[in-house]
Formats: sequence, C-alpha cells, structure tokens
Amino acid sequence: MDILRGLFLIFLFWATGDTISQLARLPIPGAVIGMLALWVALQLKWVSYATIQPSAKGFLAIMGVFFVPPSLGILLHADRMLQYGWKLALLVVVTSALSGLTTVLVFKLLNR
Amino acid sequence: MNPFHEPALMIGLTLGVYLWGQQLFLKYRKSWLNPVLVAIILIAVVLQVGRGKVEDYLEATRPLVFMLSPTVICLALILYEQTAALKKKALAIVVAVCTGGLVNVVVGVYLSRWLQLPEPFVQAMSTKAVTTPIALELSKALGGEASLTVAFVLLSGIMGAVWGLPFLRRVGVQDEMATGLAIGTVSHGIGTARVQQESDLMAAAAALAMALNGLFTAFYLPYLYFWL
Repeated sequence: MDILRGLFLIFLFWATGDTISQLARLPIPGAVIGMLALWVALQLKWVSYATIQPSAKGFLAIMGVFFVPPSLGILLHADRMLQYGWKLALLVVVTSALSGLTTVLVFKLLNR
Repeated sequence: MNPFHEPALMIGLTLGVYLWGQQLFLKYRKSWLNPVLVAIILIAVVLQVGRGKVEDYLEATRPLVFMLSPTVICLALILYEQTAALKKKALAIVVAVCTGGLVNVVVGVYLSRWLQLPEPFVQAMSTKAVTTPIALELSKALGGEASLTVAFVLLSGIMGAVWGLPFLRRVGVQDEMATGLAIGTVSHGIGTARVQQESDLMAAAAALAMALNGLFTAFYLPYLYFWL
C-alpha cells in the first residue's frame, strides 16, 4: 500500500510541477519545481515522510542508471567533438575545477 | 530483428552493465570505476561490435530515461532529511552555489571564444553545468543546438562524478557540505547520484546545489549570454 501511495504522491508532485512550469511559462522544468514543492510539503507535514520513503528510496538507489542512455547520445557528436578534442577536454576540466573551487571557497569564507 | 531496437533487450543490457559497474566500484573503490562511466563504455563497445545504431539504442531505452523526472522529485526526501543542517547555512549555500555557477558560465564562454570554438560549442559550454531539462530550455532561448547541449551537460556531469571527489580531496577539501555543493554545482544529477554513496549530507548538499544552480542560471543566462 505504501509503495502505491508513495508512487501516487511522486507523480502528483511531478504533474503539479509540470503544470506550474507550463502555466507560468517558466524555463524551470516541472520535476525541479515538483522537488522543491515536495520538500516544502514534507516540512509542513502535508506529506508524511514514512509514506513516501519506501518508493523514493527505490528511485534514488538506481538514479545513476537513468543517465546512461542520454550519455550515449554523446556518440552522435563524437566526430565533431574529436575535431576539437584537446580544447574541449581542457575547457571542461578547467571550468569545472574553477567552478567547484569557487563554490567551496565562497562557502568556507561565508561560514567563518 | 534489430536487437538494438528492442526495449527489453536494451534496457536489460543497460541495467546489467550498470549493475556490474556498481559491483566493480564497491569491490575496488576506484573513482574511475564509476558505474555510469563503465556502463557507457561497455554499451558503446557493444554498439560498435554489433554495428548497432546509437539512435536505435536511444529510442529503445526511452522508458528508462522517463524515470529520471520522478527521481528528481524523490531528491526532496534527501533534502528533507538534512533540512536542519542546510537551513543553518542557507545564505552561504545560496551565495556559494550561485557564484560557482557564474564562474563556470563566464570562464567557459570567454575561454571557448579565446580558443576559437564555433558558436554552438560556446553556447553548449555555457549551459553544461545545469541539469539536462534546464539546459534544453536555455539552449532554445539562446538558439543553440539541443543535442550538442545535452552532450556537454552529460560530459560535464560524468567528469564531475568521476573526478570531482578525488580532485577536491587532493586539494584538501574535507567539509562534506562544501564537497556536495561543489559537485552538485558542477555536475548536477550525475554528481548527485555519485555522492549518494558517500554520505546523506553530501547528497543533500549536491541535490540542493543542482536545484539552485539550475534555477539561478535559468533566470540570468538568457540575458547575460548576449552581453558576454
């Protein structure tokens, strides 16, 4: 029963997020709005943690696998990307490292 | 029969190689044995050897990708579990994530122009740190190429998921919340999936950073991009 109730709530929040995203013509996807809405609903005890926990943990445990097919889409651009191979690799590495370090530094600075 | 067009077979293959990748990771604990990376490489090999078309595989595995959205909803649970810890540092979290995201965009755009990359690459570089659906919306607004945009988002996600943790540890970052925030800011969902295996706090920080960076970027990038 709880699995079914949890699934219902998950899809309900997804649908709500989608509706808000489309009605307000936001560039934010419904799933992200739904996630924030569910967080608020859990805080306010509108939704009980115990009900949603079994189904949600199931999704979260295998989250990574859902990224596998879209990642293979990179192969469709392999030729073009290899053309700029080292430049792209350098760019992604440098910008990611700088961005991550900035996040850490700003967080630590503000936390002192 | 074209095996690469069969959902049961292709989804089964994906789950199987991912499972194997996860077992390898748990056994050897090497960052590069990331199950997403292992699965991608093995499936790419299978496609190559069997002369399968990537397009067929993508079509067959659509039901699996559909599950990504409900999973994002479920991240609310991790956020809820860590609300008290996150609330205490709310301001620092918001400012750190937004600054980190902005650095990624600005440095990415200027560096890729300096290296004389074609415009679609520059545009894809500016949206690579945000979660796929937001990147797609932004790509539309900037007039970019949708599938190239997605390719960069995933490339950035995989890089961060595989080398983010070892890199941050190497430079001496130990704070779990800071690590999670950095990984979520740079490598969105794929990074968040990875740090779930480290700690709940790190996963919550990553999930929140993913959402914040996505929201923030979505609002400013359409204006900033044309100004850069």
